Amino acid sequence: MSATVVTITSGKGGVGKTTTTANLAVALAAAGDKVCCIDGDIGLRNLDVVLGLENRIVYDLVDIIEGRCRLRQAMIRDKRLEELYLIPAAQTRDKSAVSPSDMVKLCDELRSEVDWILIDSPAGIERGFRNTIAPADTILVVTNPEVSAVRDADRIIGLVEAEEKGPAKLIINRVNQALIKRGDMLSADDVVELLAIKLIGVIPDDDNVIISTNRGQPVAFETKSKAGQAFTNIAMRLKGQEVPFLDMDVKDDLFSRLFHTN
Amino acid sequence: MNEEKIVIKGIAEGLLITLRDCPWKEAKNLVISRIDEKGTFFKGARIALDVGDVSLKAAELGKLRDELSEQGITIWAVISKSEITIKTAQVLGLSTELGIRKNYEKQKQSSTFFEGESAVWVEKTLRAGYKVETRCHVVVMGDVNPGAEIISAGNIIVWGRLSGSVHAGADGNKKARVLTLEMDPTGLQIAQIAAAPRLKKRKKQPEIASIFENEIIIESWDIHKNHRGDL
Repeated sequence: MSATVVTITSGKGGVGKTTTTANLAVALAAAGDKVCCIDGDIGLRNLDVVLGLENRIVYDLVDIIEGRCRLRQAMIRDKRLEELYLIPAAQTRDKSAVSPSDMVKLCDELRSEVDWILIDSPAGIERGFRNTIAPADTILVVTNPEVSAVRDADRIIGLVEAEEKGPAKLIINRVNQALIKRGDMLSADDVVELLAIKLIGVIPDDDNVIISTNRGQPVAFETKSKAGQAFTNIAMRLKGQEVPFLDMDVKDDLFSRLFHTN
Repeated sequence: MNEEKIVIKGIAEGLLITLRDCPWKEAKNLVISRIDEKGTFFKGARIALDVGDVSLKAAELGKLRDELSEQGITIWAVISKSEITIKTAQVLGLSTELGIRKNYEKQKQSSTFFEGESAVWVEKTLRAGYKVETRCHVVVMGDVNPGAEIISAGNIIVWGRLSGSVHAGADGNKKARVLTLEMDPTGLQIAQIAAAPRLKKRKKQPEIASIFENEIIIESWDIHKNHRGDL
């Protein structure tokens, strides 16, 4: 096995990097691949919470790098999916505990063991960002259809190009079709026109995402929810399959029907 | 002998490290060992690097930048005679010249400026955070996105959508102009004069900005009209 290293990044905070990482990991593992996620947000870890693995952490990323444990010991295995692992971030250290070359070394060691290494990048463009970009084969930039998030995504895409890691691929998260119809939100097309990179997924705004994030049970576990389906589709596209984009129209959705009758 | 190959001096914008006739590998090690010697003296420093004729790729320059940033040192400018290095520096968002804007008052407007002109050719979209700063004219084949910046002592042509910030004639040349296929800049300045924000909904058409009676005017480009003014 030789894993593909996928780094999920955004520039702006709060656009859904961690949620995306968790869900892509679940979707890839559910498809039978062996996946290891790495939380690159040292000092502000939360991928463990979203994946529902927080109470099983013994060792973390910094422990591996500083030689206090072996790689295998820090890999937490998920109980729901056999082939899903997490290497959590350290909570009590900061980004300077890890260097880009440490991350490259770690990923090279891990490559022979799994099919996918997903790295959740911290917000910002400083050291933490460069740590997570250094080992990447593919970079996914997550943005919301908001002007500020798009501006930061643009900056990140430029930095990825400069590191010769491009072209990055784009995920637009929290798209609200009703707002777009009213002309109150940038459409996916508007965002793609400005950023001019390949779109790999559009995630609809879905309350289930928040609920499942709090429960530590990513939406990709349930194929019923639209967001879960959207994440699964991205995972399939990463695996090289052609999957049509979801129909975002919410007309037939029960909730919107209720709204319209008001 | 090392003293000849590497010279560090203080300038208005921080520190200037000049490297002379020295292969990059050696030069890089010299810079790092010099900084190590001085311990915390360099911590938090902003450094401009003059590499002479050496051609550097993004990976090489990026590596040095990363290593220095681990010691709390920022490279903000790279000066070079090599076009490859200049391009690399621009790609990494570094400045390639020291203090163009400062010479406002000193330099008289010269009508001979456009003789022997040269231009920086940028064949890519300038994304947020990119900065092109040069004494030459600038031609961009691509868009200039919001958050990107061009400062040129000459003219600026954007063959694409201009949504970033541009400053033409940055050393005081009031005859400089900005030409673009779609004019929607976040900031537009020619010489010392800044354009008022446009309130009207913009039209998607080629336009040209220039100074007329100490104000920036923006006209649509008409191929039948002579836009060359009094030049």
